[in-house]
Amino acid sequence: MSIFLTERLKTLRLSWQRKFSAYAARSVLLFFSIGLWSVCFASPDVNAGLKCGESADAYKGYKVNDVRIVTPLSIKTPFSFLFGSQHKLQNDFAAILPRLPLQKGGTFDRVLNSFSIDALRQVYDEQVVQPGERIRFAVVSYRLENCNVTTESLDVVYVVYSSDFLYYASRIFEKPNDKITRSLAPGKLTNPGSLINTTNKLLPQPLLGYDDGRKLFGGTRLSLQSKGRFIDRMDLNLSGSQNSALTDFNVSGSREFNDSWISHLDWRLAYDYFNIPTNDLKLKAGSGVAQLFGASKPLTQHGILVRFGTSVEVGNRQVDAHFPLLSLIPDQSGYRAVKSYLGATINRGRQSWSASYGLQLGANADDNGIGFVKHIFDANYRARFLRREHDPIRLDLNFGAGTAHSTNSLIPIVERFFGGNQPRPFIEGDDWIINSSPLIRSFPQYGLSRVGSGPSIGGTNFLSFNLTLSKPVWHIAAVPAEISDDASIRDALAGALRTARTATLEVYLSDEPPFINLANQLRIDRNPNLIEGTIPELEKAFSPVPLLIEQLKGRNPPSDVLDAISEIDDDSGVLEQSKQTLQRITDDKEPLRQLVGQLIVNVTADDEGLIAGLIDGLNSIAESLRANQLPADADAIQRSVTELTNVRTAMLPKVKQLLAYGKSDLRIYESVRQIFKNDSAPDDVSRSMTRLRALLDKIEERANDIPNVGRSADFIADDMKDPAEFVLLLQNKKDVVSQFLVAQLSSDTIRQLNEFKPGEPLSKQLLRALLQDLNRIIHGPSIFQEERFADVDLSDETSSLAAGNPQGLELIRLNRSLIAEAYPDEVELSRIDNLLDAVDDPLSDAKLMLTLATADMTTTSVDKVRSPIHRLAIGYGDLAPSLLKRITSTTKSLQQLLANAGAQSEAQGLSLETQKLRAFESQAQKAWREIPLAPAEKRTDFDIGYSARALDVVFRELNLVEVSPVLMFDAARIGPETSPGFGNFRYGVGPALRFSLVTLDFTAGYSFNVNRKPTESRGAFVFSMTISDLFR
Amino acid sequence: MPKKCKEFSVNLAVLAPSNKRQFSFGMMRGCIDDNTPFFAMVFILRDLINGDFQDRVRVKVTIGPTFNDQAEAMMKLGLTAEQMSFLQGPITNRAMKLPASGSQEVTDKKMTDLGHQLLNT
Repeated sequence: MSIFLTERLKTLRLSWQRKFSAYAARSVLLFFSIGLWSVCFASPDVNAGLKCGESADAYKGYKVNDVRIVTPLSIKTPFSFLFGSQHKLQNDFAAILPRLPLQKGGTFDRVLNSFSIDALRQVYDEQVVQPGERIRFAVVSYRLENCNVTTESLDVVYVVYSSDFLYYASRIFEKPNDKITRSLAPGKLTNPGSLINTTNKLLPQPLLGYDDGRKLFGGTRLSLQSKGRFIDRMDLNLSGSQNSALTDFNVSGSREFNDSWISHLDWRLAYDYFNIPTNDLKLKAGSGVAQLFGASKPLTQHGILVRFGTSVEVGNRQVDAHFPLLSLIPDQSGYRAVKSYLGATINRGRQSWSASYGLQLGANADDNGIGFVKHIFDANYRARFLRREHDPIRLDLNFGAGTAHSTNSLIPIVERFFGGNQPRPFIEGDDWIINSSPLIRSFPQYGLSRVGSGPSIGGTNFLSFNLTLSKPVWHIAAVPAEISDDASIRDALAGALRTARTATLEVYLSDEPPFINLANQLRIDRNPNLIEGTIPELEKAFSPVPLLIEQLKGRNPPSDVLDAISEIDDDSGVLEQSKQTLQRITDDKEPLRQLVGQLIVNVTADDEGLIAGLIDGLNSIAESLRANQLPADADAIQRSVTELTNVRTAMLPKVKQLLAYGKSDLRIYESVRQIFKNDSAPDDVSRSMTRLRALLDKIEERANDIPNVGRSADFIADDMKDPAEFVLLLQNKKDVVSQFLVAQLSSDTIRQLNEFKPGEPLSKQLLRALLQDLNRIIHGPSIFQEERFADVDLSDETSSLAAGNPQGLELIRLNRSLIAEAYPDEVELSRIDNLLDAVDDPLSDAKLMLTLATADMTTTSVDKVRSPIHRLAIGYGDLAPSLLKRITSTTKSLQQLLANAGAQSEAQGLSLETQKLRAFESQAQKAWREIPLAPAEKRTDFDIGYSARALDVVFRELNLVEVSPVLMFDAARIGPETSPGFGNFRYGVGPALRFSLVTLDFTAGYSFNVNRKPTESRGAFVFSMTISDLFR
Repeated sequence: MPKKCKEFSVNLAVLAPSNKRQFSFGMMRGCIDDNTPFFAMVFILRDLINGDFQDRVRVKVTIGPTFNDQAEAMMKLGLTAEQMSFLQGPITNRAMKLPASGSQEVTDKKMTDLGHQLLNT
């Protein structure tokens, strides 16, 4: 069987955008092949056991059999060796286990559990945010497992998720320069223990592979990074086989720019050599090259990244042929060329567009001037459609075209176009891959080499189109469900992002020249003879005060003077606060705006600043001194008061100007506030929410008797929240209600109940039998007995119903409610109640946000209004949807449930209100987008938007392990055409299977040559290992 | 039916563009039982000294049931500029006055009062 183990074949998603280190891929290949089977059956937590019910209170006092810590990197795979930092992290956590308040062998307690979570959180307090990382986050949650009601024991599993994982996942395989293709480079990881910190380490990577042309080949890649001035990296790549050789030696350097539209420049000096067989030829080339590459910062409001580069090459091109070459085509020649390219890419959400143009001016040794010219165009579209979380449909489209023509001499064969299942980079060594040959996966490398019936010498023009489509059929989500499904955690993350926005905006504003100018006016004392209102003047006016106070205290003054002194002089009084703040303010690391604002304007809304408080206090002291006939001391204090007052008065307008700098006017949010609450408008969000609340209250009342879905309906499978746990509780018969219920079950149900084993899936037969028996029980007679339900926290409604003598539907409702309230985590009160519960929290939160967002303009501030608006109507996409979106998605489900149950009038009312709220949400979002923002705010939103997108990918898309079928389609041709139209197009169609480990994709398949010519093979195997960068 | 309390924590750390100061803000929701949450906030001030980030001090503010609603609202909404300013002003001042505690957390009544003030800022 012919196997084409391609050495740098990318999946189309990435093939022409980023160059993955093929050598690293190959070195991993053997391990991967050996480990694939075992990985398929790897589990993220090998000790994972039966989950317990939701309420941890039920397990208070249980013996803790085991305490474990699970992180997304806990998975044991043959690749674990690649995640060196994982071991360090695991070791760190292992060291914490003995120090946790909750210990193995101890008893379970909620407070101890809370403190254990806090202890794990503290691990992340220890970690430092590195320059460029901007933010770090960590989430710690927990789950209980293996709860055994007989032995009263359980396991506690702490689930830890942090942005460390995000960085490892996105970078573990990428080259240092790959990060510049991101819209926002999160920066380098330079933790000493990190594998990514490779400075001054010689990193050899062995490689072994097979290619139909090259046969079995092997070699190594060596790289060394250092901190040189111009050269900071050296690479040597070597590989060879019985009929081929590849060598690449280069030294390179790079520079990052902070204050320019260019973000990054690379330079590289290299010698490249290859000797590779094709169908009938052997292509040889050796070149010395000097290259310069660059990338811009994200430009324009669309965040366009521009890439450019140039390469000067001098060497030779040679061909060994099994047949006589055309006399006019040289088989050996000196070679020189200049190559340049310009490209751009735009990333928007889960979509990316890229386009590049490359120009090559080449010549043979004998040419005077330019001998031949090549033009290359390459365009790509990549998209991930996330219809369901962790189930992305991936689509990659590529279009490539090229032409070469001679101006002075013939084009060397090595420089002609050959197609096949390996892209050929226009410029070797750059991370921005422009494919300069037709990619057609049904042909082996260099296999598409014949134009018409001519010899296999490649073509002088080409066209190619490629499509790759995949969809996962199996996955393990990277973020544990305990974390990703918890709305509180997503809410808290959204809150953290809003906090990060506030902090980031503040520092961006402080970088702006007008701000620096204002700050300098406060910092620099230009004329010592005038009171200009500067910080040095304030320091000078303040400096005698502590000494005066100390001297006064030392002279045992009268008690009312001491009382006046103590008003300002305790360890957190205005004297100490002013002193500390003045000391801090001289340090340019400190937040000048905040500190000077607290000194001169206010600390909280209720005061006039520390200096004003100090002046008041000093005045009181002076008055007391005068009252006690101590005029000299009073005068001394009074002099300080006068000086402080003068300086404060001079500073006040400047400080107010500084505080106001960059602050948006509250009125810019008025258009959104008007949608929320506007008494003169026909309707608004406030009134719609009030009507919705009334509707929901009415539905709650009607839930008693709405057939099929209400509280007097028969149980169905959907009413069982946790059927396995319910069965276990019945099986264990620890409580009186369970003992009673089991006694009412049929013998067949009891037999099945006793056969059920914890951890096994619940059989449909057992569930059906159980539901049948439960429905018989709830139909009567009443199961209520005071002593039977003494330990159950019954609702007032159920207690009141039980006190009467309900009949018919009311009796069913009573019995059903008694069971649901006895098993609140396992059995639904009713499906209506379930949805009503789900809408309660967001609705009451929304009411609070509405109040904050529409507060009186004179008593609130921009910052107190913006966040409530954002939370109410904007949110962070599907990661933390707006409250209005959460409300309407739940009311929509409730409406459908009611409509199916025949409660048409409630359903219609709910539908109407849901539509209105959705319309208001759209209006608010439109108004929000149209709010004019200052440049610093735009920049902040762009950056925080990146963080939010990255979190969204982690929480909603990223899989630890994923298996996806892949469809490949290629169409390509090389020319010149011998017939008009598309007659010479060659096609490739085939299936493949992709196995993904975090961001490492392994794809294997076969592409069929559908319009095969007599001399061609049936198709070609496709094999690739690539990195998918989900965090662009 | 009110939602049952479930324990979790979230940490967020932000580095100032000067790359010389970092502040971390952590929040933990603990539970005494299903119906009684409590909250803790942790503030850490860290400065770059001789090439390494070193803790100046770390302070933990535990918020009892009285302030649960404000604490929960702050966790979900994020800090306003006013709260950030209060954190960097009086709370930092207080933190700097406390004895250097290294990795040990300090409980200080005045700091707790300031924490409560922060919630109402």
